[in-house]
Amino acid sequence: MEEHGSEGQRNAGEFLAGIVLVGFSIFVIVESLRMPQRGPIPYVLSPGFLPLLLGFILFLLSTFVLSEGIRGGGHRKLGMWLGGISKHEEFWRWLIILLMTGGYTFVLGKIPFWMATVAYFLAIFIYLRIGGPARIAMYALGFSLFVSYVLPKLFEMPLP
Amino acid sequence: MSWELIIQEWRLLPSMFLHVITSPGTVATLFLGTLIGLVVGVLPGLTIVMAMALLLGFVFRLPLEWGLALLIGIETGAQFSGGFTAIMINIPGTPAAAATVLDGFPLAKQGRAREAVGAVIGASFLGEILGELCTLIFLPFVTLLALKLGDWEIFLVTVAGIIIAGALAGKNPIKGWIAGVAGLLFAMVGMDAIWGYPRFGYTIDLVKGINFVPALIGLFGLSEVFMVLKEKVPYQLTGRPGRAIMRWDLIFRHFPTIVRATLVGVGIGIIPGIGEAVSPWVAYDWAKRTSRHPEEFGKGSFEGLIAAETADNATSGGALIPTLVLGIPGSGPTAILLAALFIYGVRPGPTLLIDRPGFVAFTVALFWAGALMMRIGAWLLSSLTIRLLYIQRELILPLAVALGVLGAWGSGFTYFDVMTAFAFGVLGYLMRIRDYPPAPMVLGILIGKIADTSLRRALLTYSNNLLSMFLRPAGLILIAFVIFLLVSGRRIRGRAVART
Repeated sequence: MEEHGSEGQRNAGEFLAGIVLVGFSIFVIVESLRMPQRGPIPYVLSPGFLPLLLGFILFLLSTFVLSEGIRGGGHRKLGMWLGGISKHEEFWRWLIILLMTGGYTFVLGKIPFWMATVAYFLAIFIYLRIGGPARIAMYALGFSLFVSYVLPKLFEMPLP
Repeated sequence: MSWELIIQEWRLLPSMFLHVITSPGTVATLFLGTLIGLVVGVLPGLTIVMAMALLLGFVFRLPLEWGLALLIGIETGAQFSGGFTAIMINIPGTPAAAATVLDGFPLAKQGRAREAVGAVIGASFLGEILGELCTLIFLPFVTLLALKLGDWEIFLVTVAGIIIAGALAGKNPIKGWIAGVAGLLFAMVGMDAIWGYPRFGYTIDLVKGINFVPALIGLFGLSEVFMVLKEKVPYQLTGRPGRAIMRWDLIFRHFPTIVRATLVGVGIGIIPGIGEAVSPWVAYDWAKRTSRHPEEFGKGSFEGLIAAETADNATSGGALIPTLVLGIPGSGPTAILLAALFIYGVRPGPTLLIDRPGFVAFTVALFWAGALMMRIGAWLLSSLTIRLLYIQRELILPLAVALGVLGAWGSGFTYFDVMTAFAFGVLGYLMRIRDYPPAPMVLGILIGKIADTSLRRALLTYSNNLLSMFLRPAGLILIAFVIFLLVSGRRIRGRAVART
């Protein structure tokens, strides 16, 4: 992922973030207006009053970000920026780690917690190349024991 | 409130402190509590309230002094160690330590982790001692102030907290405020406290709302893991691991900052529910405004670190006041303390000073003894703990993921909480690569429900005459403060950038 890219790439990122935020704020405003109006001053006391207020503030702040992105020509460079992301090695490393972590959270409840934890540690330590097989196995088993046995015992915590 | 009763507590304080430190049982339980607190604060996802609540069932089997010592020990221990992980791995152990990250982690990256931990030990110790002392000295005034603060003022303090955190946490205040407002919006998800309407409740899990613990784990913990491990060669802390270096010269040099941060901690601590989350930000902001080197803030400033940590620890003093003399808990941990006091048959409230002379002094003495013991223990153990957190990032960060998942699960025992942590981890990562700071979002999620409830309760109370709500004296002062923060937020940042 681009972090210290050129000004054009930065503006493309700002533009995309602005679009997402403006869209989110409009969603919040519309949803807040649909909430029931109750009490002596109907709208002000409605459950949607603060979300509506926050939605408007978010909309205003997001337009700053969006306009900055447009001023810098971010809308023109968006396609190029998005296309270039997959060429970065960091992006793939991030994606693999994300998938491993996501997989770990997803399998909880489907297989025993200790098994998921051992599998996660083994997978990530192998991917990150922390050392030889013995070192990987030692850390994966040691950490798993700590997380899935010692701590839950200590705090009397039921496991997923 | 009679002055004679207050003076009586002042007089009893030295003897109470002596009594506490010479009672082997009290000292042992206090020490055990600080150790549990240390573990709780270091592990992401385990909160002070969770640990205190878990032990509450055990506490009432102990005598009053020991039970209170155990709970107070946990609070003081966890408050300190939350800042420790913030320095060493950029993941605050408690929400209150979010401001500690700003300067603590850059110092660790500069190879000054041991000095940073030493500064935190000193600052948090002084914050605790001075905070409790202020509690006792200003008891009548602070009680009066606590009674003056209504729902409208509580709402304004939450607004001020978001503005300050947004302006300070990142490079661009607009992005900080966006993060803060989005955090407040996430807090709106779920059953609304006034009318019982399920806002944004598209699923059963969403009706229950978003718990702040998984959000904290995701935004700080998992996003940090993604940020660091995506690098082919993740950073390693430089400098030699070893025992924390106590820089008393730094503590003395920044003593005015410590005094100001203590006053902020005590003052904001009296506001129920939000004190510990907001006070470090306000103190950090004040320190930056008065500093000779504001450009160093956020890049490894000891002054900023000391301000945030002092205020965090001084808040427990402020939170103690409404708990003891009004019976209103000022924070999560003090709510547990209040429950424990009820179990022991102690009735906190305005008559406490008459019913149980010396009890307030005894509680303050317990906090002092806990602070003293905790810091000595932390310094002695720092060689081991710093060495542990110095290990390579490829080992420690996956462990943080597993601990985070366990912590998220433990916060509500639902898969939704675990998935929330993961979703906020991805969101936190995306925010960080676009320079949106996660700290204001966490603060927003933490105080959002209080902001909503207090605003709407105030509006309900003053629905016949809204103008009188805006004209409340304390509220007017806070409105002026909020406007000042908004106007000066960008200007101060601009000045700091110009200086560099």
